Parts: sequence; C-alpha cells; structure tokens
Amino acid sequence: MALGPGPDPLERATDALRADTPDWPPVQAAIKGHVRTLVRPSPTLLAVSDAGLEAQDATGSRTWVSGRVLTVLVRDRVRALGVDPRDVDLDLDGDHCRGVTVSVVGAYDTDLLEQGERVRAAVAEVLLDLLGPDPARDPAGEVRVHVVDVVVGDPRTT
Amino acid sequence: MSTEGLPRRWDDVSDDALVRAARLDDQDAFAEIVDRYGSGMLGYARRLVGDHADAADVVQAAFVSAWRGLPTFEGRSALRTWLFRLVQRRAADLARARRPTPVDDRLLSAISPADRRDPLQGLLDSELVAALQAALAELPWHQRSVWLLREFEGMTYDEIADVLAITPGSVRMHLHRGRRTLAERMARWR
Repeated sequence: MALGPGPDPLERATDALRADTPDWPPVQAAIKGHVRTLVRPSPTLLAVSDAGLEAQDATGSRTWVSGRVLTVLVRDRVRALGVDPRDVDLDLDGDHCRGVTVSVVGAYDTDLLEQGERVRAAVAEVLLDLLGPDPARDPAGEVRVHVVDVVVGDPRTT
Repeated sequence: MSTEGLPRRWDDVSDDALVRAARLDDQDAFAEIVDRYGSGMLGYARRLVGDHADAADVVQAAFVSAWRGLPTFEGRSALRTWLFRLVQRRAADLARARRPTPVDDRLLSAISPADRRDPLQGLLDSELVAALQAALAELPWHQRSVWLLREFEGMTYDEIADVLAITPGSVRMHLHRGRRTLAERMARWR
C-alpha cells in the first residue's frame, strides 16, 4: 500500500473523526429515563364540591389537584379541536384557579373567531369538570384565548 | 391521562410543534426531541470534551436544562441551535470544574474499531484521530468549539454565533485561527 503524499492530513483526520460515531443508544435510553423522572414546578389547586364549597363532605375534607393535571387536560382538549396550544397560564388566587389564558396556534384560512370560541368553551368545561363550580371564577371571563400564530397546514404538526 | 388529539407519529412533526407540545409537559414530544438531536449533541460533546462518559453527562445535563427551560423558551433561536448552546454551557461548566488532561489511552479506547478489512489503514486512521484530538484539546475553547460546529455540524457563522453567544465576526476569527493551528499541528502527518 502506498503511503506517499495523500490528501491533506487535517482533512483525512477530520474524515476519520467524522466516521467515529459515539455509542448513542445507551445514552439515549438513560436520558429519556432520567427526564421522565423530572417534574416541573406546578401549583396545587383546590377543587370545590358540586355546591361550590371547599369542604367536600361533612368532615371538611378538601381536594387538591396539581396544576400540571389541569394543564395537560387543557392541552389535550385544545389539540383535539385542531389548534395547537403553546401556553396555558393559570390565574391563581391562593389555592383557587380563577381562570386560564390559553395561547394557541391556528390554521391559516380557518375561522379563528369560531375556533377561539370552541377552545374557550372546551377549556371552561375542563375547569368545571376538574375543579368544580368555584365561585372564585367569573364565568364570563374565566377563559381567555389568544391566537399567537397562524400556520399553513395542521398547526399540531407544523 | 388522555392522549386525545395527539399525533401518533412524532417524527413527522415540526420542531416548532414539538416545542409547543413539550412546553406543555408532553414527554413523548420531548422524547422525539431527544431522538432527533441527541446523537449529534453527543458527538459534538465528545469531540469537545474528549471523553465519552463526560460527553454523556454533558448531554444529559443539557437535556435536563432543556426540559426545565422549555416553558420559558421563546423560540428566538432554532431548537437545534438552542440545544447545542445548552451542550456548550454544560461542557464549559465541566471544563471549569476539571483541569485539562492530556490525551491518553482512554481516548484511544473510545475510538471505533478499525475497518478489519484493512488493518493498516485502520491503524493510520486511529493515529490520525488521536493526533487530531490531541491538537483539538490544546486549542483555545472558542476556537475548538467554532471549528467543531463548522466542520462537523455544518452550522453557518450566524448559527455558531448564536450557540456561543459571540458575534459572527468573532466566529470568523476563531475559525481562521483554529484551522491554521490544526493544519500546523497535523502537518507532520503529510
């Protein structure tokens, strides 16, 4: 084999180093496993009884729900409507959730006002189902929807 | 927990949509981000810090930072650029915490097995790689980072500037100096 002058040694070394790929799968599995154990900080929300009372029964039991649960439920309900939520901001008053602001990305050439109204109604339903008819919430303004972007195609994948 | 409305295949989803989903606690979307960019981040980290185990720690720390930081990620940078910036920062943390170590047998052992059909070429490649790694390890931090991001990740000057939080003009300068030094160090292999 000839070992005379060949390509530039830096180029040869760079090509050889480029071909030296790291063993990614074990690292990949470790990272995914580790990240799944991480929990972002989230407020605790008080759910009220069907009568709108903090006490759920005669003994005064109370029920708290993680804000993360509310966020995930809102996320999935909004996505089911064909728009993509970007942010779900909770308006808190102590342990009470007074309302939710949802920022969404919509699809170009769709009726965004109509979609916004559907999002508002769906999120209000989630709030009622999860936290009950809390008097701390103002039914007229408990859900605000901001359309922050419009994309061509399905906003959930684009 | 409901998965209503979620796409079944994340690999067809844009970076922007993945980021939106992961911001809102979607672990599957974040797993796709790991799949999409992790291997490249690991390769970069290993060439930057010179050791596979350290690189794995750096990339894991970068992804932990990404998971925690996504809710405040404003999307001014592309997702890939942002992730590489996190790798850069975690690698810099590591470099600050440790004294530089010379290239040793551990580095050689981390190199992929040579092509068994041509052992001489494989040996030459291994020695070349070791020499390049040694030269890289002696380059100043920014020159090394710029050269790797340009040569291995194919990033533009603007993207590199974004990763390293320096100006594109500084990127040009570091790249020029890094290339010149590496060429000088590798010249004896000609």
